[in-house]
Amino acid sequence: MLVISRRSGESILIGDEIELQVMDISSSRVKIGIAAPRHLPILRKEIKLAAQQNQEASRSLSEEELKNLIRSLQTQR
Amino acid sequence: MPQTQTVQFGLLEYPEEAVIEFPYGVPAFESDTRFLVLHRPETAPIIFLQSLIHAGLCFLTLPVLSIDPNYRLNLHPEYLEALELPPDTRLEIGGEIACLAILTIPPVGPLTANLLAPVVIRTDIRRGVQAIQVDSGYSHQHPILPEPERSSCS
Repeated sequence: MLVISRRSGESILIGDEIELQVMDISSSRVKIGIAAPRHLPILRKEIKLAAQQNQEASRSLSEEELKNLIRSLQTQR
Repeated sequence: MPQTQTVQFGLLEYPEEAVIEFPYGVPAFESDTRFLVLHRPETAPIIFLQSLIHAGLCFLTLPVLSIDPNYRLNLHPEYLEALELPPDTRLEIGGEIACLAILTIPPVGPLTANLLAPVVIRTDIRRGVQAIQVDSGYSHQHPILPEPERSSCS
Protein backbone atom coordinates (compact mmCIF):
# COMPACT_ATOMS: atom_id res chain seq x y z
CA MET A 1 0.00 0.00 0.00
CA LEU A 2 1.26 3.45 -0.88
CA VAL A 3 1.37 5.69 2.19
CA ILE A 4 1.45 9.48 1.83
CA SER A 5 1.37 12.11 4.58
CA ARG A 6 -0.83 15.16 3.98
CA ARG A 7 -1.82 18.21 5.98
CA SER A 8 -5.28 19.68 6.23
CA GLY A 9 -6.22 21.33 2.94
CA GLU A 10 -3.79 19.28 0.86
CA SER A 11 -4.84 16.88 -1.88
CA ILE A 12 -3.92 13.67 -3.61
CA LEU A 13 -4.67 12.97 -7.25
CA ILE A 14 -5.45 9.48 -8.52
CA GLY A 15 -5.20 9.40 -12.30
CA ASP A 16 -6.60 12.41 -14.11
CA GLU A 17 -10.10 12.33 -12.70
CA ILE A 18 -9.99 11.64 -8.98
CA GLU A 19 -9.00 14.07 -6.28
CA LEU A 20 -8.99 13.35 -2.56
CA GLN A 21 -8.68 16.36 -0.32
CA VAL A 22 -8.07 16.31 3.42
CA MET A 23 -10.67 18.81 4.60
CA ASP A 24 -10.24 18.65 8.33
CA ILE A 25 -8.32 16.67 10.93
CA SER A 26 -9.31 16.12 14.55
CA SER A 27 -7.89 13.78 17.17
CA SER A 28 -9.77 10.70 15.93
CA ARG A 29 -11.26 11.65 12.57
CA VAL A 30 -10.30 12.98 9.17
CA LYS A 31 -12.83 14.59 6.91
CA ILE A 32 -12.09 13.76 3.28
CA GLY A 33 -13.51 15.48 0.22
CA ILE A 34 -13.73 13.35 -2.91
CA ALA A 35 -14.07 14.62 -6.45
CA ALA A 36 -14.59 11.75 -8.87
CA PRO A 37 -16.60 10.92 -12.00
CA ARG A 38 -20.26 10.13 -11.28
CA HIS A 39 -20.06 6.56 -12.55
CA LEU A 40 -17.58 5.53 -9.83
CA PRO A 41 -19.36 4.19 -6.74
CA ILE A 42 -17.93 5.59 -3.51
CA LEU A 43 -18.71 3.53 -0.44
CA ARG A 44 -17.60 3.40 3.15
CA LYS A 45 -15.75 0.10 3.39
CA GLU A 46 -17.75 -1.18 6.36
CA ILE A 47 -20.98 -0.91 4.34
CA LYS A 48 -19.47 -3.10 1.64
CA LEU A 49 -18.41 -5.53 4.37
CA ALA A 50 -21.92 -5.61 5.82
CA ALA A 51 -23.39 -6.13 2.33
CA GLN A 52 -21.08 -9.06 1.61
CA GLN A 53 -21.82 -10.59 5.00
CA ASN A 54 -25.58 -10.22 4.42
CA GLN A 55 -25.24 -11.88 1.01
CA GLU A 56 -23.54 -14.83 2.65
CA ALA A 57 -26.02 -14.92 5.53
CA SER A 58 -28.97 -14.99 3.09
CA ARG A 59 -28.09 -18.49 1.86
CA SER A 60 -31.12 -20.64 2.60
CA LEU A 61 -30.55 -23.70 4.73
CA SER A 62 -31.78 -27.21 4.13
CA GLU A 63 -34.12 -28.61 6.76
CA GLU A 64 -31.33 -30.90 7.92
CA GLU A 65 -28.90 -28.01 8.34
CA LEU A 66 -31.47 -26.01 10.29
CA LYS A 67 -32.22 -28.95 12.58
CA ASN A 68 -28.53 -29.51 13.30
CA LEU A 69 -28.01 -25.85 13.96
CA ILE A 70 -30.87 -25.63 16.45
CA ARG A 71 -29.74 -28.79 18.20
CA SER A 72 -26.21 -27.49 18.66
CA LEU A 73 -27.43 -24.07 19.81
CA GLN A 74 -29.75 -25.66 22.35
CA THR A 75 -27.11 -28.02 23.76
CA GLN A 76 -24.66 -25.14 24.03
CA ARG A 77 -26.94 -22.88 26.00
CA MET B 1 -54.95 -11.66 8.76
CA PRO B 2 -52.56 -10.86 5.90
CA GLN B 3 -50.65 -13.75 4.33
CA THR B 4 -47.33 -14.03 2.59
CA GLN B 5 -45.66 -16.78 0.61
CA THR B 6 -42.21 -17.69 1.94
CA VAL B 7 -39.57 -20.20 0.93
CA GLN B 8 -38.62 -21.08 4.52
CA PHE B 9 -42.11 -21.43 6.04
CA GLY B 10 -44.45 -21.83 3.07
CA LEU B 11 -47.63 -19.76 3.28
CA LEU B 12 -47.46 -17.62 6.39
CA GLU B 13 -50.26 -15.76 8.16
CA TYR B 14 -49.12 -12.87 10.25
CA PRO B 15 -50.59 -10.11 12.36
CA GLU B 16 -49.86 -6.61 11.01
CA GLU B 17 -48.17 -5.83 14.38
CA ALA B 18 -45.39 -8.31 13.54
CA VAL B 19 -44.21 -6.22 10.59
CA ILE B 20 -41.08 -4.12 11.08
CA GLU B 21 -40.34 -1.31 8.62
CA PHE B 22 -36.73 -0.94 7.55
CA PRO B 23 -36.73 2.46 5.80
CA TYR B 24 -33.36 1.72 4.11
CA GLY B 25 -33.65 -2.05 3.79
CA VAL B 26 -30.40 -3.72 4.83
CA PRO B 27 -27.03 -3.56 3.03
CA ALA B 28 -27.14 -5.65 -0.19
CA PHE B 29 -30.95 -5.85 0.12
CA GLU B 30 -31.90 -2.20 0.06
CA SER B 31 -35.35 -2.82 -1.41
CA ASP B 32 -36.35 -5.18 1.39
CA THR B 33 -38.03 -2.59 3.58
CA ARG B 34 -40.52 -4.81 5.41
CA PHE B 35 -39.61 -7.80 7.55
CA LEU B 36 -41.42 -10.14 9.86
CA VAL B 37 -39.78 -11.08 13.15
CA LEU B 38 -40.62 -14.71 13.85
CA HIS B 39 -39.81 -16.89 16.79
CA ARG B 40 -41.24 -20.32 17.23
CA PRO B 41 -40.82 -22.72 20.13
CA GLU B 42 -39.60 -25.50 17.84
CA THR B 43 -36.78 -23.40 16.41
CA ALA B 44 -35.75 -21.56 19.60
CA PRO B 45 -33.41 -19.80 20.26
CA ILE B 46 -33.31 -18.66 16.62
CA ILE B 47 -35.27 -15.57 15.63
CA PHE B 48 -36.08 -15.34 11.92
CA LEU B 49 -36.19 -12.13 9.94
CA GLN B 50 -38.39 -12.94 6.97
CA SER B 51 -38.59 -10.38 4.17
CA LEU B 52 -42.08 -9.47 3.02
CA ILE B 53 -40.64 -8.24 -0.28
CA HIS B 54 -38.73 -11.35 -1.35
CA ALA B 55 -40.14 -14.73 -0.37
CA GLY B 56 -36.68 -16.29 -0.44
CA LEU B 57 -34.96 -13.85 1.88
CA CYS B 58 -34.95 -14.99 5.49
CA PHE B 59 -32.15 -14.19 7.92
CA LEU B 60 -31.44 -16.27 10.99
CA THR B 61 -30.58 -14.20 14.04
CA LEU B 62 -29.92 -14.43 17.76
CA PRO B 63 -30.40 -11.76 20.40
CA VAL B 64 -27.08 -9.94 20.62
CA LEU B 65 -27.05 -10.13 24.42
CA SER B 66 -27.24 -13.94 24.28
CA ILE B 67 -23.94 -13.86 22.39
CA ASP B 68 -22.26 -11.08 24.35
CA PRO B 69 -24.01 -10.02 27.59
CA ASN B 70 -21.84 -6.88 27.71
CA TYR B 71 -22.66 -5.77 24.16
CA ARG B 72 -22.92 -2.00 23.80
CA LEU B 73 -24.75 0.04 21.19
CA ASN B 74 -23.27 3.29 20.00
CA LEU B 75 -25.33 4.33 16.99
CA HIS B 76 -24.32 6.90 14.42
CA PRO B 77 -26.84 9.78 14.25
CA GLU B 78 -28.08 8.69 10.80
CA TYR B 79 -29.26 5.36 12.26
CA LEU B 80 -30.85 7.11 15.23
CA GLU B 81 -32.70 9.33 12.81
CA ALA B 82 -34.01 6.29 10.94
CA LEU B 83 -35.37 5.09 14.29
CA GLU B 84 -36.89 8.54 14.88
CA LEU B 85 -34.62 9.25 17.84
CA PRO B 86 -32.66 12.44 18.61
CA PRO B 87 -29.02 12.37 17.42
CA ASP B 88 -27.52 12.25 20.91
CA THR B 89 -29.56 9.28 22.18
CA ARG B 90 -27.66 6.63 24.15
CA LEU B 91 -29.42 3.36 23.41
CA GLU B 92 -29.69 0.56 25.94
CA ILE B 93 -30.78 -2.84 24.67
CA GLY B 94 -33.98 -4.04 26.32
CA GLY B 95 -37.46 -2.65 26.78
CA GLU B 96 -38.45 -1.12 23.46
CA ILE B 97 -35.03 -1.62 21.88
CA ALA B 98 -34.40 -5.08 20.46
CA CYS B 99 -31.01 -5.96 19.05
CA LEU B 100 -30.38 -9.01 16.87
CA ALA B 101 -27.21 -10.39 15.32
CA ILE B 102 -27.52 -11.95 11.86
CA LEU B 103 -26.01 -15.42 11.66
CA THR B 104 -23.92 -16.77 8.83
CA ILE B 105 -23.91 -20.53 8.44
CA PRO B 106 -21.28 -21.30 5.82
CA PRO B 107 -21.30 -24.75 4.13
CA VAL B 108 -17.89 -25.27 5.75
CA GLY B 109 -16.33 -23.35 8.59
CA PRO B 110 -17.65 -22.05 11.88
CA LEU B 111 -21.04 -20.47 12.50
CA THR B 112 -20.60 -16.73 12.98
CA ALA B 113 -22.68 -13.78 14.09
CA ASN B 114 -22.41 -10.25 12.72
CA LEU B 115 -21.74 -8.14 15.80
CA LEU B 116 -20.32 -5.28 13.71
CA ALA B 117 -23.70 -4.59 12.11
CA PRO B 118 -26.54 -5.59 14.45
CA VAL B 119 -30.20 -5.22 13.55
CA VAL B 120 -31.68 -2.65 15.94
CA ILE B 121 -35.46 -2.52 16.25
CA ARG B 122 -37.70 -0.05 18.04
CA THR B 123 -40.58 -2.30 18.92
CA ASP B 124 -42.89 0.56 19.96
CA ILE B 125 -42.96 2.11 16.48
CA ARG B 126 -41.93 -1.12 14.66
CA ARG B 127 -38.96 0.35 12.87
CA GLY B 128 -35.59 -1.20 12.30
CA VAL B 129 -32.15 -0.53 10.88
CA GLN B 130 -29.07 -2.60 10.40
CA ALA B 131 -26.62 -0.30 12.12
CA ILE B 132 -22.94 -0.58 11.30
CA GLN B 133 -21.02 0.14 14.49
CA VAL B 134 -17.92 1.80 13.08
CA ASP B 135 -14.94 1.95 15.49
CA SER B 136 -16.69 -0.46 17.85
CA GLY B 137 -14.09 -3.20 17.54
CA TYR B 138 -16.87 -5.78 17.03
CA SER B 139 -16.42 -8.39 14.31
CA HIS B 140 -18.72 -9.05 11.36
CA GLN B 141 -17.73 -12.70 11.75
CA HIS B 142 -17.85 -13.37 15.48
CA PRO B 143 -17.55 -17.17 15.92
CA ILE B 144 -20.31 -18.63 18.10
CA LEU B 145 -20.12 -22.37 17.58
CA PRO B 146 -16.90 -24.23 17.08
CA GLU B 147 -17.02 -26.33 13.93
CA PRO B 148 -16.34 -29.77 15.49
CA GLU B 149 -19.44 -29.43 17.65
CA ARG B 150 -21.59 -28.79 14.61
CA SER B 151 -20.28 -31.64 12.49
CA SER B 152 -20.65 -34.13 15.35
CA CYS B 153 -24.40 -33.56 15.21
CA SER B 154 -24.86 -34.58 11.60
